[in-house]
Amino acid sequence: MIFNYNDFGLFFIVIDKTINKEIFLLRIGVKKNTYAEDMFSRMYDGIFSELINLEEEYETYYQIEYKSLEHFLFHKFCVPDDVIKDFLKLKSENEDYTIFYKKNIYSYGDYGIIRYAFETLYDKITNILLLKDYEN
Amino acid sequence: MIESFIIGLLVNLSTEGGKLTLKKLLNSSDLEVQINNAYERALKKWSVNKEIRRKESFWTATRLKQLFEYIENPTAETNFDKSTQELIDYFYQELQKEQTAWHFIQSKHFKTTITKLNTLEQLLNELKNEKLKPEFVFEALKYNAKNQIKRQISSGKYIPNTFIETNELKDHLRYFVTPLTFYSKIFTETKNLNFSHLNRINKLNEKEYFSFDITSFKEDISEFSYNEIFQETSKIIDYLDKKHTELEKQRSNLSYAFTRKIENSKKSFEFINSKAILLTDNAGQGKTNLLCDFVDNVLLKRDIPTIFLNGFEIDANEIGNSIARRIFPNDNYSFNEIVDVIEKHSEKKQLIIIIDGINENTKPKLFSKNLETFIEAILQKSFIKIILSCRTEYYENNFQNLINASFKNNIKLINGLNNRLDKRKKEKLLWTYFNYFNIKIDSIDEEVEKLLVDNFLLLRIFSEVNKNKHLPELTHIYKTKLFSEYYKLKVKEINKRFKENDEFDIEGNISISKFIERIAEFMISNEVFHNIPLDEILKDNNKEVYIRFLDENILLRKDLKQSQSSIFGRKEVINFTFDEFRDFIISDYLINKLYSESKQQFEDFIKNNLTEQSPILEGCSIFIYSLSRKINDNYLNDFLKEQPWYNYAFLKVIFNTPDKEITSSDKDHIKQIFIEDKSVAQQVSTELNYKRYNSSEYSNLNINLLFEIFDTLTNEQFNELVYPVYQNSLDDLIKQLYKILDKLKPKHYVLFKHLLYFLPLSNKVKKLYYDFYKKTGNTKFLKDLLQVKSSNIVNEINKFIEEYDIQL
Repeated sequence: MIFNYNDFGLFFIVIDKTINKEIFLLRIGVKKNTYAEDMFSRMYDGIFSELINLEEEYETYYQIEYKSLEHFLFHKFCVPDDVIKDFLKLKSENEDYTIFYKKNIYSYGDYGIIRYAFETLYDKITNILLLKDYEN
Repeated sequence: MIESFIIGLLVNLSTEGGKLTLKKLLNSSDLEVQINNAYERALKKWSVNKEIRRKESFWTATRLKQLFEYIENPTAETNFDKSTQELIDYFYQELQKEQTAWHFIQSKHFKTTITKLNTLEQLLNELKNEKLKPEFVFEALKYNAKNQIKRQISSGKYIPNTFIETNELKDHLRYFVTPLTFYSKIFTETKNLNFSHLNRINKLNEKEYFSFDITSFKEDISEFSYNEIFQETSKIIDYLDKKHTELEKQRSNLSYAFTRKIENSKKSFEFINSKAILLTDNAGQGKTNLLCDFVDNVLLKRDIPTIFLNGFEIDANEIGNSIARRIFPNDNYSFNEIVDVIEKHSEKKQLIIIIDGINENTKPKLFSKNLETFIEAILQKSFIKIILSCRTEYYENNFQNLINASFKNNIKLINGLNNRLDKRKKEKLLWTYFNYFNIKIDSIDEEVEKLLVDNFLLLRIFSEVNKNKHLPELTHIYKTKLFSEYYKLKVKEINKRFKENDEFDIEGNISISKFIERIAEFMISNEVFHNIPLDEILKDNNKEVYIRFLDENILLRKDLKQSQSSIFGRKEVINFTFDEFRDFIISDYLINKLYSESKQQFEDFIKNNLTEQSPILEGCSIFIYSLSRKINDNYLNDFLKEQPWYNYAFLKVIFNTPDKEITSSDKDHIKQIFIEDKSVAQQVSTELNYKRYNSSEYSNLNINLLFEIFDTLTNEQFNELVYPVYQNSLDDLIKQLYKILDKLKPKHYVLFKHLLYFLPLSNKVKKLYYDFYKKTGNTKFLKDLLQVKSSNIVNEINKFIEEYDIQL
């Protein structure tokens, strides 16, 4: 799942941290050396570009100030309670599910590819990022 | 012997402990004055340059000790230059001219005392060293910071857990205070900045490849000294600067987004490298709240040595030593002695000095000058950093020298703390306040919520007044009642604080209510409602106490105003932080004081000042009418009714008055003005239909009054006063009623009675009402409406009954 704080601001996402580009493209089902491979490869780069592991950041730099990850999300980033609960519920399903964030959802610079991923293909992409089976 | 005494004497003079010892020894302040005078004269002979003399007069123990060691033993090798030796010679000559001092210094009695004193001093030094153990010093710092936080909580300037991180500001402060921790975070984020999309587009456009790589700089700085971190970060900043310029040359929409990324990284590194921060903002914007939150949740939790003081707590003449006295109030350690201990034992943590509200110092000009010198001196030590906060206009008037000082490249100016909060953050703040003040609210009207989140001062006032209360349903903010209670609460609280403790550190009795009354009196008698001259209000002995009150509270604030008599001068004036509160105070004075003292003056003021262009018209008309209801004086009521603003104030107040306080004459007045004015008809219709349809909630003033009015209206009056209100919104109303019909409850029935009055307007009304009839079998409303004056409505009801074959 994703939580987009506002149109050009913070962006949070839960991802299976074991995913890599190869798995991503395999799950998408693109053929090698095609335009589709190039496009989804850029999509992967766009999603993962400048992405920060929020949980690692919390443990390394902020744990001393905030007593839990929930507090960190609520007080530092102003993530609403219900979203935090959804994040944690999702995380409880799989120990590899990790919360990431980036300061600007479009920091990669390719607005179109990010919109395509998280608007048009939202369910498919978020399921792949969690390495979940997705049936269209 | 004499020379050696002078050395001891002057070395001691430079420390607070020394000064006190000297005073005890000499038993006369004349001697101390004479010695100081001699030194000042020596300085004048020595240099004609005021600035050099000022700097030389800023003594430090180490410097003086070195200076006078020379006199004690002129033949010993020293590092003094010719100029310093000249100064010493002048001083020696000038001291001899001070008869009392010179004779006393030469006397036998004095020499005996000196011997005793030396023994005593030795003992004191031993005790001093014992108390200046690092654990005591760090404990004292923590105690001081926690105490400052407690004081700000009790003054209401700090509300724990209400600071909302709106942007990068708090992170920037984190980078500033603990560079060793956050350097790696910023480094990694900068290293990961991605320019591949830019380069892909550049390639397509046959533009140059943009390279970006900071891996040649050190990523791990854990073993670095402060200076090494500073140097490494400076190199990275230079690199980012270069890259920024390179990218700016590309000048495309895409490159702009990428330059922003570099700017943000550069800014983060700059906070690592800065030595001082100056936060400026207008009054009441949360500077103290931010700094307290920062000390409470960042510095103390991270165990960073912190000195946290307010500008008014510092002696402008002796900044360092007055800070030292705040940390060790019962001892005479110098600032440098304390700093030395911290430096030796801070384990790579920096010492953070925070001075909140430098504008609150009682001698701002002197403070500003000496603060610059003080910062210059302390920033020589790389482990010290300083954060200052200041009201914007006072910064512009008194403290701009700080940003142009010798350390200008190492000071960051942050102007404006709170960028506009978005809706989510506002809501969060609202519930954080309710939580902090222990206010339980089961349901809150959307409009009331908006009113509170859009005006934090009102939220603050509301929260303080309703502390520890359970408000089942919050549908209105009764401002007259709210301000009245808040005013009483604050006056009681502030007077109590003045009387019961020495928190303000000032002696004297004051009466806040009299002070505010004096302001109201000034405003009314001079017909001036802002920029009230401070000197006109503060004429008595307790001026300083009132100034502290002005700095402390949120009701009033001191401002600087350009003086009309001089282009250079600015004078201090008083303003109300919240215009509505000012209007309340004026109204309260008018109704409860001036009216009983002089009806004529009261009437003249109202006639002359509550006019169309007046800044106090909107607020005062409402409060005057609202307060007049409490005293219920016929003469006053008649006078107010004659005022052109009366109906405006009446309607504003009546729908914000507790339902049980509405009288039958209020209702009669509503009926009367409804038929006189189209806009009144619109306002009353909306209030009674949309907000007061539930008669169990509003048993007195509710939708039934609207029906009473409707029943007496003619066809023409309906066409003129009622139907235009719904001309564009009838379809929406019908849609809403269909939704209500799905979950219909008895309290909603009256809404369908209201609908029936619009039968002449649309067939959709008939259809909807018939659905309501089928569901409830209600015929009473149809019978009721057959009795109304409007023949159009009666005809439509008859047709409807016939068409749908309804048996009454």
